[in-house]
Amino acid sequence: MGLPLSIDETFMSHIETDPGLSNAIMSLIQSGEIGIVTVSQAGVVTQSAGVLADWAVPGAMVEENAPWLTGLGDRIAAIGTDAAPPLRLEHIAVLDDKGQHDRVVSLNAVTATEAGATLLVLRDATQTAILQREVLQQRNALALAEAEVKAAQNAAEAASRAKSDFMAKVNHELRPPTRGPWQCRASCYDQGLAFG
Amino acid sequence: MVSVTRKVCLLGEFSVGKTSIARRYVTGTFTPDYHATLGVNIYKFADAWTSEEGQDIEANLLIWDIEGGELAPGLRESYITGAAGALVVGDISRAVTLDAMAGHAQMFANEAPGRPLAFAFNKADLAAATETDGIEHALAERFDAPQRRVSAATGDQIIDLFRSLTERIVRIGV
Repeated sequence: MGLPLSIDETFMSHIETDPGLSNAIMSLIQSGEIGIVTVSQAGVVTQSAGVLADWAVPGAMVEENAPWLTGLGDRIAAIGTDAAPPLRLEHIAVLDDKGQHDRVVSLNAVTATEAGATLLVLRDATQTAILQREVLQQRNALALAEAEVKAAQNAAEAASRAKSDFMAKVNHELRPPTRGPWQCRASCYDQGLAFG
Repeated sequence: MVSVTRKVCLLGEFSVGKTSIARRYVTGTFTPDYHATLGVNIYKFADAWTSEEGQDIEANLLIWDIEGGELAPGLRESYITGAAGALVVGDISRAVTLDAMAGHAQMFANEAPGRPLAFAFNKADLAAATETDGIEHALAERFDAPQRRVSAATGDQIIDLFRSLTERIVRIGV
């Protein structure tokens, strides 16, 4: 993790005019918890601050700065012109060749105070992501288990219905054909004939 | 040589195997354990081939493996922004995930009109695979998109399906 990039008063004025809040934001930037990037109407990075923003090299197109912003350059630039609503991307992790990542970042792209400019606010979400992912894992596992129980219950009910249908049908199929012999046997008894 | 960099999204219900498909494609590995994806995991993969016209093409893909299931309102749409194409994934052993595929595809079509889609019917290796009642062909026809029965466990058809989607993205020029 590198050192925070330079932050001057002009830059802070793009973010927040309230002196108290500016100090708080400055503190968060310097602690490495957030990073700030300003993007011009043309989609060029104009300034950046904080270790989370050290990928954003001023003077280059924002999309070219970071591969994970591929396809988003025009969308981000349009936010500053009020042509597009703010953009929120939660819990982004860029994986290496082995499928590992070292940091999870959340990004909010909003209109900056400078006319036509877009402000990217990056927040380190690594720690909260660990907890939230665990909750999500449990929730999904529970939903899968419930679905399996429901499927088993449906299968059991279907088997029970099939058994009832079978018994009803067998009962019907057996009784009418046997009615004749039984009546014949009863008639023989009535006439005094005995069997066996 | 034509070289392009494009964003591709993986969409579908939770636990259908989106992450397994991405990992099989990018790292060539598979683990049967289920690990829920929170937010987005972005994989990078470079594919190269020679087109039918004899042109060498290199496609650098940013594969956005997006969290399945319910998300905060508008978040999934935000994740899709800027995508050149999407692979919609379903689990053929769970019919409910197949029913949801059309909704994911339609949402992508609304957010990124005219951009290519492909459909992956995953877990084809499982004995418990259910009948899909022709849903594969119905989706392929409705969205004019390629579809395959794939297996992240064995790797069957995954490279082929990604290539088919990437070729469409490059051909259309989005």
